[in-house]
Amino acid sequence: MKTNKLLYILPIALGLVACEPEFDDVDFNGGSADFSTFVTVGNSLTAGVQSNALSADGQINSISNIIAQQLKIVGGGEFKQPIIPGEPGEKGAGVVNGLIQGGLLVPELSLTYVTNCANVTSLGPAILPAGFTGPVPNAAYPATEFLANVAIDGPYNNMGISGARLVDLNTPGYATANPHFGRLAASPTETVIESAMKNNATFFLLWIGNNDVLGYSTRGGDEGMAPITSSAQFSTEYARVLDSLTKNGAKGVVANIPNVTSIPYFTTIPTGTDAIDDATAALLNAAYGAYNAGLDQVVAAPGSPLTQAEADSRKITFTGGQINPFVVIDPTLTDITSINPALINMRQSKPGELLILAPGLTDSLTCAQWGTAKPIPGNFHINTSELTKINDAVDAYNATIKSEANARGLAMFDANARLKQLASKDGINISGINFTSTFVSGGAFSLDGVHPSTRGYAIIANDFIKAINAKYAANIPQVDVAAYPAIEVSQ
Amino acid sequence: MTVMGLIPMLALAGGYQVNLQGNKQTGMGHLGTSFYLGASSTYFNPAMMGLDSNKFSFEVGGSAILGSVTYQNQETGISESTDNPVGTPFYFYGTYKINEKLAAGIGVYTPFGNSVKWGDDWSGKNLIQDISLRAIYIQPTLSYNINDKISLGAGMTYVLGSFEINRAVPAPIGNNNSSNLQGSETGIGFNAGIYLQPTEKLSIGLTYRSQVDIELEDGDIDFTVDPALQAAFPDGKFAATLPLPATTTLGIAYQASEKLLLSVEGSFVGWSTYESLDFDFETNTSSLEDSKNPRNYEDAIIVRVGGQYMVNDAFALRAGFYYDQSPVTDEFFNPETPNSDNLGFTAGLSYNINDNFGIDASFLYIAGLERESEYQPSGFGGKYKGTVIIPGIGLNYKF
Repeated sequence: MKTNKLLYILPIALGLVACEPEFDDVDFNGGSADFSTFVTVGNSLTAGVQSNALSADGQINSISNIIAQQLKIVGGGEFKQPIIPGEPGEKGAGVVNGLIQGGLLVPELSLTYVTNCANVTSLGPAILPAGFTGPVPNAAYPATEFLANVAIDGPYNNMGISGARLVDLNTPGYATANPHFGRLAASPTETVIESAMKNNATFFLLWIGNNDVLGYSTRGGDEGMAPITSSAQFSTEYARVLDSLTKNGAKGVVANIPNVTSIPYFTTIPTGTDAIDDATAALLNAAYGAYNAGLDQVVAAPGSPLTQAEADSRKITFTGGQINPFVVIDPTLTDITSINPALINMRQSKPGELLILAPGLTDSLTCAQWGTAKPIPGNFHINTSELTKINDAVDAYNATIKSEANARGLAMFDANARLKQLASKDGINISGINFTSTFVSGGAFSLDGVHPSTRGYAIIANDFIKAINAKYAANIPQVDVAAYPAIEVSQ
Repeated sequence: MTVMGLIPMLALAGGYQVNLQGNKQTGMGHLGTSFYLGASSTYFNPAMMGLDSNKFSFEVGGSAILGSVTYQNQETGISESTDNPVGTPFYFYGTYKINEKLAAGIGVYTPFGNSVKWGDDWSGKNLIQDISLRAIYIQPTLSYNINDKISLGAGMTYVLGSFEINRAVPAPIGNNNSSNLQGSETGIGFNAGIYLQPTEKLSIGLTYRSQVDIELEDGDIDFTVDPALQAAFPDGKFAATLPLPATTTLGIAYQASEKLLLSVEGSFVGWSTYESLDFDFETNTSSLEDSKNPRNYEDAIIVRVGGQYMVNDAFALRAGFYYDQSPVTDEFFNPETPNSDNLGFTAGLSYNINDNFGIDASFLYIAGLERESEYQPSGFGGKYKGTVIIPGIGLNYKF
């Protein structure tokens, strides 16, 4: 009898264990928003630029496309992207550089072994694959193919235009100025907004304004090359863009602008030396002795344009056994070269000032004595007054974005706060991965130090989804950030 | 050590405690602190070893743990389940009644263990891919009957512990980086018990099993990483300490009739000792700092009720129920030990073939209550739910 009972129990037992515990499916829904037609308007960040280039891979992993695919689960429709020709994933193919100069198309940056000026080899970003010694293979990337106009297949749901500023969106003729939009525009005079509006979107994502201040920043604060859009113009243009996008009752989500201090392009190269020895310090002090004395002489002269305070702030001293701030050119200093041509506008970098991640700058610092025996040119250095201008602009833009979003009942993703969190010491932990804004090793940024990595874009896509969910009582599924690939080394 | 390779287990009770130390007791809610059921009292309450009327008493047995835990991410909708190997905890007890007062015994059993296999590529792979934790206790014990009403027992425990963990390395470069940590070490502890029989029908037992720390000095860590990362993640040795917490149990049994025995027990498990699982790597690099993994467990209780009905002299039926509180908080819930408050439903039977030889069988169904928790230090959370069934069988022999 007992044996019989056991014979009953065992199959039941095995049957039970075959059934893993199950949960009901999570109730995902679109809440009060209609996602049937989704359009994204923005710049390289919404287009999907990574590592200094737009590729088919980047477009597939763009914020716009990631969100669009998630929206499909809650009623979203097709999301058409102007995919760059070429095979996705094929290194160097299907790639368009963010800045096309002289009609050249350059592959995206690769992570590879790079030998620097001091003959030290380490992992770093490079345009050419390791071992490749020939010229840039322009022929492999004919502009006619990659930049051919594809408006006939439009309208496109991803209207992220690499390089676009807010003030470009409503500018007729922008298609001729920017080949990224030139590909998509139906006519030379069509504006980005006109092109985007052809979708009759029910829901939009707008992330614009970064380039209205970033161009100035990446050029080390150059008003001539890339003026900062004034806050008044930003305010007017932002309202104008939203007037268009919401015209037919569409709802949407916007995002504000991150501070430059959250972006590795501005935080990677330190503004000071490694610890130097006493002999080097003495040598440098001897070399700058004449400059320091010259400043005092100018101050002492009658009717001097130079105050003692400025003279003192410009004096250059190095101390052995510690790190020392680099010597930099600061165009905002009082120009006294007419009094003494040797007294150029230089000083040592101050805490909080930044150097940009320009190609070649590290080599110049390492091997050409930039920052020590020679001042670093001003276009590599963001000084305090430039930083103030940048921060003031970002603050003003963000105030506009917030008030416009609130006034129009739109969702807003606080990208500035999120990137500050990323830039903090602890970074952001997602599924066991610690993300920071550290260049390459932080995992969140691509090799250009400005644009996010694939995982970085996935994080931001989730942040947009969270903002939409909160505003429209929706429950759009997020993506599993850890399932997106990390950067691989190219050999 | 080869024996240990055969007994992976699933976290059954709170944390990684495994309460399956006797099929008779398991059948009635794993109760057995306050009434004598054979040589297994070496574990359940060593004070009772001298209560046997036989000179020698032996028990041997084991269980098959068939269980699975399912995880569901509430934000992505992803749902994944463990594919755990079948756990096979076992026990062996032998007691020798030296005289009417004194008895000696030895027990070999497996009160802690954990075997969870989520897979190499599941969404929490950076926290854990799979873990196998094993502890075998060897416990020589003496008991002394002070009089008819009071007995005492105590012994030492010698513990063989080992574990192996596989988890992905979330490095920023490369997509197939993983680590394997393993090691084995011994530990020492003790246990003690008191048995009281104030009346013929009422008995009381109180036991204490001390904490045992498995202090691993020379574990091996082996990285499989992208060639570019090999210098940053060197293979080598590590040290770590895993505590096996103290348990205090108070039980009361009442002989309701000649055939029916009822009992209730409460246990207090000192899980708050498990604050952090730290790996101290012999070789550190800027990418490989010592790994601090807060656990912040809280002390937990287990409440058990159960009964035994003697159908006749040869045949016993048992049933029981217990509530087993999880020591894991909602902020530090790591899928490596996916443990929720458990409800255990048990049934069992014994059949004595003759005066010397008997068979014990038990069946345990554990329903893990659904919980929604996160391991905040890693930013990984969701809903978890587990189900386990455990058939067990044992033999007893006495003369």
